[in-house]
Amino acid sequence: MATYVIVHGAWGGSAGWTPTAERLRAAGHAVYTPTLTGLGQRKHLFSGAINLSTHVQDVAGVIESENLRDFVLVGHSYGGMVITGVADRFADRIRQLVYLDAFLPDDGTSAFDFIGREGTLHNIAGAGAHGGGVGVPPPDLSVFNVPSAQRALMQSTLSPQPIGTLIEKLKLTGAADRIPKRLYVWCSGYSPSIFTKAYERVKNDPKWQTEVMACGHVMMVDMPDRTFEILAGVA
Amino acid sequence: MATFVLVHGAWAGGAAWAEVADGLRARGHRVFAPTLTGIGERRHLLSGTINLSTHVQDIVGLIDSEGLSDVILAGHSYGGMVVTGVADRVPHRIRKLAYVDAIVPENGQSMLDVFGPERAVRIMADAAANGGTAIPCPSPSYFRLPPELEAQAGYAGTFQPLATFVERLRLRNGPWAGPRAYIVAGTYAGSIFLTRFWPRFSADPSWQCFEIPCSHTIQVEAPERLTEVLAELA
Repeated sequence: MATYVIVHGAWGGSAGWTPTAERLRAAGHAVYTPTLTGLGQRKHLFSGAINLSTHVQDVAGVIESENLRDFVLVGHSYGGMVITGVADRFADRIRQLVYLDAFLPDDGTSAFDFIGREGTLHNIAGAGAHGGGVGVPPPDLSVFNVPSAQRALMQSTLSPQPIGTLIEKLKLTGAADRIPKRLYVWCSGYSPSIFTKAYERVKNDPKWQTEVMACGHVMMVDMPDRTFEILAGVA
Repeated sequence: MATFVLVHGAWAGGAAWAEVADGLRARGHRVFAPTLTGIGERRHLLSGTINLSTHVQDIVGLIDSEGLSDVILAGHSYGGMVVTGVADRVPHRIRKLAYVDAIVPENGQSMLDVFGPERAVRIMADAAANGGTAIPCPSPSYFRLPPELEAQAGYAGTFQPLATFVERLRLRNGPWAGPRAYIVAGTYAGSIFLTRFWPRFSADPSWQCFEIPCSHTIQVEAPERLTEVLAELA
């Protein structure tokens, strides 16, 4: 039996991970799927004061309060920023890191550094026009090749991302290098992908295992069985 | 198989339900044990803007986002304020309310109204010494919790956002008339739960009533028995 902490991505909440969590629990594992402040079920807490540090502490709070040890830390998409910050603080408690089509930041980088100049300007323009200067509006999910059957419903659940979570740069000590295992899962079924560079960087690195999923960015919706198998397989 | 949402009390967090959540899941139920904003694992969000409405919305947000229905909604202690508010907001999503040594407010009451003026004044003095917006946790002896269980309960060093105790609960639909249960901590002698709520509800056949012989923090002191009782409500 293993313990998993799964961190969702930007603009959404943890509810998308509930079916995966319940399958892992049915297989005997313990699973925590915290919701980041200002998003999903916690969107009523949205404010311009929320930044990446807030989200790192959201997950740190679960680890401390539940006294979790020897767990698998999973991040999807923007969740890669969050789990990297968490891993730096709790390296000795983490059995394995799993990045699911996720940002893989170095010390001193922000999500906007990966999104690039054009994407950043687009996001900032959206925040300026529609988000009161503090909320980045959700993208159209077609850019992530979310299956059309689920796209409209999922789109309706999205809410603005606090801009500070995308701007604040991570400060890392390098402690996460001590974590024994790490897996990167890249989704090949949409293009362009801002996660391709991260995958290219690690795919020949012996410290990393990698997997490719031939689907869009939201793999737990697109390929729920394979997503479950990959996560269950690292236990 | 039922869906449980477990709401913790003041100065605590969702982690206090860990054993009960595991026990219910092992019996095949779905369980959510969220932490209210500003407390427990979410203490880094503590601010003077958090009120009872925030905590009600914390749970409504969970129910909406997860698409939950037919929920058995349990509240411990102050969590009784929260679940009463939630049931008023989304009554069609709730199968049954379970009050676990919990406050059962009347329409228009705040936590401080339930406590009465003497205690309200003492709480104000405690808050005044803490920036005027947060209430420090009473000493562990207040809950009569065995010291070895204090860490699991999570009370130590936490602050309750003041406005969660001050804001009055306005029920749009009036008192909850659906199925309900009261689970009292039988040896928390002198508590308002035993002296005020239990005599009323245990004599009222519209309530399912259970007495568990332990002190206030039942989910930590007697998790196996509480799991059995909650499973019986399903």
